[in-house]
Amino acid sequence: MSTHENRLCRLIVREHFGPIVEKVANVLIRKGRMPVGLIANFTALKPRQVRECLLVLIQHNLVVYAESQEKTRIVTYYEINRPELLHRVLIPKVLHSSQDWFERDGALITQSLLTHGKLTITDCVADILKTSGVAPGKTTTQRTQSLNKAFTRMVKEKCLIAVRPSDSLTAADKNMAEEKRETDKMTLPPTAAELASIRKALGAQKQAEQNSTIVGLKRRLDTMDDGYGEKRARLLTDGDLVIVEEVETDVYFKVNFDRFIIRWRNVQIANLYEARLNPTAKAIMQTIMNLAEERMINCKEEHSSPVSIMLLLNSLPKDTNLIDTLEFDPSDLGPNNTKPKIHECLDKYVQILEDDLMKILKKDAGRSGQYVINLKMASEILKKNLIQGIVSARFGAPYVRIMNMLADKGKLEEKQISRFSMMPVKDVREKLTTLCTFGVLNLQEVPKTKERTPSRTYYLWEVILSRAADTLTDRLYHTMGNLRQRRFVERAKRAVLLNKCERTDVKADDSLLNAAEKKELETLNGALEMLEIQELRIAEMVITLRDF
Amino acid sequence: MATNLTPLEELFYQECLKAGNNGLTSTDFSGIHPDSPVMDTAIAMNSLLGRGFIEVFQLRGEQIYKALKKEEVGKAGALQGEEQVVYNTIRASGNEGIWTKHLKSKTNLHEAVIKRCLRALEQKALVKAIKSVKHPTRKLYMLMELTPSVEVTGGPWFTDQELDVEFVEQLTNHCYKYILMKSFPRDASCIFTSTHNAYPSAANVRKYIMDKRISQVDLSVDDITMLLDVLVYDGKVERFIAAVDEDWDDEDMDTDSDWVYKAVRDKKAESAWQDCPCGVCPVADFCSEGGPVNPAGCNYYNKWLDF
Repeated sequence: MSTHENRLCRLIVREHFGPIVEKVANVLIRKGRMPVGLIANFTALKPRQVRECLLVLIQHNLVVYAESQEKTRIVTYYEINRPELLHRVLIPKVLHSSQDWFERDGALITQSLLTHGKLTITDCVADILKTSGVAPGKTTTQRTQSLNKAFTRMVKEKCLIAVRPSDSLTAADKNMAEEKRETDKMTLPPTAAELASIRKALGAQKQAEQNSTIVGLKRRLDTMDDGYGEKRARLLTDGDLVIVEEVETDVYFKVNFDRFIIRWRNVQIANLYEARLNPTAKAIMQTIMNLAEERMINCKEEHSSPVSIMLLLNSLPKDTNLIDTLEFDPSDLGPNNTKPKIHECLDKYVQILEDDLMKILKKDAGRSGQYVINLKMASEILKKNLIQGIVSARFGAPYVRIMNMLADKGKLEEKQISRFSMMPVKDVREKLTTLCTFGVLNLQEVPKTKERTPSRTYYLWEVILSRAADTLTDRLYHTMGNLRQRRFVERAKRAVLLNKCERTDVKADDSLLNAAEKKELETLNGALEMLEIQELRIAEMVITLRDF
Repeated sequence: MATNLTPLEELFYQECLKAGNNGLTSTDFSGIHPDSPVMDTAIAMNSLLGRGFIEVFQLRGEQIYKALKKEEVGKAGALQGEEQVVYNTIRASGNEGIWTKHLKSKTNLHEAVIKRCLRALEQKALVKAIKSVKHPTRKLYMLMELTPSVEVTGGPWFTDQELDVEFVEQLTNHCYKYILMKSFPRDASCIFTSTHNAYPSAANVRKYIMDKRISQVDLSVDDITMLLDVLVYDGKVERFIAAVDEDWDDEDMDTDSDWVYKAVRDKKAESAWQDCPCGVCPVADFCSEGGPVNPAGCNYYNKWLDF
């Protein structure tokens, strides 16, 4: 909602959809929700053009609409879906990750879904076959089958999510409509308490819905087919029939960015332990997160679902060496100095992870042998580490010391800070003001007298993590916007050359470009690559601060 | 031995000496020597006071007389009234020293008078002026022979009233290395189990520093704890309370804190932001799309892309 964020959103739309859609999106971003006529007014475009732009944006899940009754007619308001728009900068990383997790088929599926916004499974497969063709030695049906399989797998892991027509409505309007339905059942207008309980019930209902069956999958009985049955389903065989999970062919799917972000966050949490303890600890942590991942919906949850230690023992990757990487106290080893068995080692490892001062892993209160991950604490630690990294790289170690001390001890005066951090007061004062203008610190004035004379007030400094994260995110948006704009400028500077490259005869024959032009092209590509990569790295920082 | 004191003065002085630190009240004296006339006792007391053999305190409405030792008698006896008052107040502040403003309020003397007295006392080498670390603009006075307390000088970290940053850094590095050595087993890929309890405490670190004679100044456990806290805030070391053993009461370890310290091997978070010019740009706040400083014509970008 800040200037920098708006600018970045606009630039994203410009790059992905072109200048006309950019105009429409710009108006929606800056001015909020409005009907078609008003948009046409602001952008000086014809209503038909505006409608087409809106169609494109809705197809890509970037715009949602709401219908409201105003006196005699129904007016449709259109609104930008900001989170989805800002996630589009992460597209390169999403493609890379889908290739890692689902192989090339997955990458192709993701690519085609991102190109078209939302597709059914049949359309998606058809699109891929059209663009990439079939490898020699394989038939079209085999290719279709493998693509279908990859698609189903992605749906089951919730990397692709079904889109229903109701998803195009704004979330707030949906909530209001549901509430209205509930309150209409009552004869009297609801009191505040009743309203609160209705909202809670609806929230719980939604939660249960998300956790239950995945929309878009259906089960049917099928004869045993090669390479098409599910391992789990084989247990339910009924003679020759197997229950097979398939994707429904008339449901549209889109890429679920949340799931990717969750997985990236899990990897980062596991990475915290790699240097701190050892790689085995990281592997154990990663396994725990994988097991608990299924029920994670978004990154804002506090605790993961519980994981039992037996399951953990069975799911560890084959090459983790538990025994040799622990250093035991002589008293633990017993009289024969034998090393304990694997499950005892795992117990010890889990104990170490639990006792670690980051307090991320802890025992589940109700049941024994089950462990829960404190996601809130983990995400706070990730954010704090990132902010420390930024402050350390930009300003230096003494600044980090002050920041850590304030984060640990709460509100302090500059005299106390100077004493604890062993730095002279003059230095400390300067550093505090620098950090405050940067956005990391907060100042609280406590006056001693009725008049707020500066010499008679206490000035208390503190670190508020959420505010620091927000301010830094804003600065990072500014940088991302700059990088993106510079890319446009670089391309615009060489527009003539690029036009020449697009000619069909030049595409066919490279030698029509002379050496200077080739060199220019190389410089351009190099510059664009640097700018893109830098933007992607900063986008990763932004998701840590904003979404984790 | 006291010179030319009258017998009564002598007697009074001896009684005061005997009374020691508690002092002698006039009623006490008349109780011990009921035969001395009250008027004479009063004259004797005044003369002793004037010559600096005894000093008077007020306690709960009563006046108590304390005898001064021989050495002090010699010096203070030669002083005039005001100087004596000032001298006594300075002596009463012990090794904390006293500020001129406080001196003024305690003695109720005029500032010029106090200044004169202080100059005279300094000339006679009875008091000295020192600078405090906490309030650098104040001048504190104390008796010549006393050493300033830790509060005033700031302790071992200050040399000449200034924080000795290099000394502190050196010490912290040594402490960190010692803790790092003790926190992880020799094989770098292994880690200790959670029952391992040989992590060093502040006392252990102090012993190590003392044994290696790294610092010339004697450091207390509190000083070392301050250093270790600095390491904690730097993110290099963690502290936690160690598991307490059952046979705890006959250990001679410090019982006031059970903190033990463990080195942290976290990977330093690298910041991608600093790699691009915007992260280190001094005018980043001023930069905007259409303004005089904009990304299109940015010089830092030109240099950065011109690899």
